[in-house]
Amino acid sequence: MRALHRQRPLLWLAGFTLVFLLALSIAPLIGGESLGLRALLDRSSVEGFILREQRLPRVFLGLLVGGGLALAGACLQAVLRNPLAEPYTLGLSGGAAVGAALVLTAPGLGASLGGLAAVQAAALLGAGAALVFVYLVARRPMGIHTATVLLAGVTVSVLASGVIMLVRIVVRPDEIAHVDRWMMGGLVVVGYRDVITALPLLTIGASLLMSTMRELNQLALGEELAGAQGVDVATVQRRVLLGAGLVTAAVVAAAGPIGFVGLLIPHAVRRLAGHDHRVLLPGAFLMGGAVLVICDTLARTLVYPTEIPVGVITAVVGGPLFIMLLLRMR
Amino acid sequence: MALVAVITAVGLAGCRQRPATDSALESEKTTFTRIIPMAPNLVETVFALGAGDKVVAVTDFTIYPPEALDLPRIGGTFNANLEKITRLQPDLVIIQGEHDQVARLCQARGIRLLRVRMDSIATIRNGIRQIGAVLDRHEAALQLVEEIDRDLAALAAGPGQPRRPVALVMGHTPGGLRGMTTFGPESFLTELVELAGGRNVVAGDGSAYPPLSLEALAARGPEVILEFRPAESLDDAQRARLLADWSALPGVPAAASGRIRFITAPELLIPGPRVADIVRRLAAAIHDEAGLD
Repeated sequence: MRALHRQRPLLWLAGFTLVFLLALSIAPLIGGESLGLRALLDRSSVEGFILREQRLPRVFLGLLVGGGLALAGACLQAVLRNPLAEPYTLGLSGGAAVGAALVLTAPGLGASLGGLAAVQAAALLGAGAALVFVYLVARRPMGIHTATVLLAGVTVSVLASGVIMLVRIVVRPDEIAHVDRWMMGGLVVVGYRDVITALPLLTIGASLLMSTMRELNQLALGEELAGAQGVDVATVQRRVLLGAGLVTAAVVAAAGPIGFVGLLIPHAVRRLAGHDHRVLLPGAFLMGGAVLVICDTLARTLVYPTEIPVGVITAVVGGPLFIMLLLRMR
Repeated sequence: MALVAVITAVGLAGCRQRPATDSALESEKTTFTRIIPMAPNLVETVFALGAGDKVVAVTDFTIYPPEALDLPRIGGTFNANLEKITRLQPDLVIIQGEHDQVARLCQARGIRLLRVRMDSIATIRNGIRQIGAVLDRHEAALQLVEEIDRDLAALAAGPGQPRRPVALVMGHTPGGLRGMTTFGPESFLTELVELAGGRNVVAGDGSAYPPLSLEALAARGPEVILEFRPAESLDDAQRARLLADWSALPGVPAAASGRIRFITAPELLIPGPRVADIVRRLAAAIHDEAGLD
């Protein structure tokens, strides 16, 4: 079976593309509010507004966020040579959460900086600070010490948890609820501002990551062998860290921390399509986006009209799926 | 987390910072006919002002008045379904605190958005007047505020009357006195307990809702402990078990005398037009031997 997968990577890539396109085209039509043809034909109707300004941007954001997380996870797993690596291993989620929590609970700060934009900016700054910290700690003359990246990332996450717990002690319950709600992740949007805001960093980061496809294949043989084949290992590591950092910062600022997509999807795609990063990276992006959109569709329809935070769905669905995957890999 | 969600959803406190008034809206003479108040206390206020027939939907944790319970739901205050709101085509949405995506939706759909803060007696008065002004029900708002003030004045303990030391506790993990939060000086309930003839023993502490230190609790010797467990239904056996947990603090007068009141009624945490009734029920819990459910 495994040999079959490896013989047909392009077929799998076509399959991932098909799933991505199906998610993109079907998810906007599914929801608690049935829209009907009027949504497509009458742009000024309520149904048209829901489709155009609420569901479509939400689906676009889901595709970008899920795709970005899975792409970053795939690259980090390769370059850190650790199957547990994921975007949040770098501590970016913790850094972003501290930034968001401070803005969501600081008197007057949220309003003075313009509400959601302020939260996004603070999350971005927090994620950026975490990335710089992890990079500086793990930097060595010959490259990046991968084990230190993981340890520094975990340390940042623990530190961030401590700061957030401290914040929780001194603020009001309604403010705690804001922070908790943000930390569960969510793709609720009206209009395209969040999609457009996330795009520049995401595009730069994803381009950096995609540009490492060939080198990551060689790195899979080991750093020394890759070096012997002419791969500048330190540069690849820096590109991946920076690319994954930019992508994660962009998506966590737009949608909060959404777990499991960045960990699970790369493993699933690797299992299906093999280890060639020329297939794995685009495959992870396509499947990450599609899976998050499917999870979000569940989030907004399961107990309609109440919305379940999509982070809850990815964790509840992703956890058992990941265990199944691990069992099948034995 | 669940406890915080409940306490917040029922509107214990209120708001992130924004100007409490919206003068442009107040001066506007538009008659709003499709209103969505996005918190239980806002629903109660709109109904108390006689505009309940204009309400088209409420949030999940709305519990009063009875006629509001059959209205469509839009989800919770923090996880409202925006598609549902769009579909209901409101012309006025009233929110407490910040909700950026709701604000964006209102802007995109030309829906009037009113931000109200109601988390103390003063802000409840102001919120009622504010909503009354927007709904063109000034007189009803003034009357409601007067009624609340009159009821509160009748209930208030006299200035020379000794105040009973009270500890306000938000739940505890069964099996031990862990995981408790208390209500600090800035909280809505601290203000009401004072009016009910009590004195919050942690009222001098810094933050609004600090975690409760058992040492501090023992040192301050409350005569009554009010433990809030909103929307829980406790049978006698569960009550007995929770009460038994408190026997770990025999030096605390409230624990020694068994004056631990478990308050499950969620309406006691809703800062709205029924505030005087909350004070009356708190006074019963603090002073009556029979206590309160």
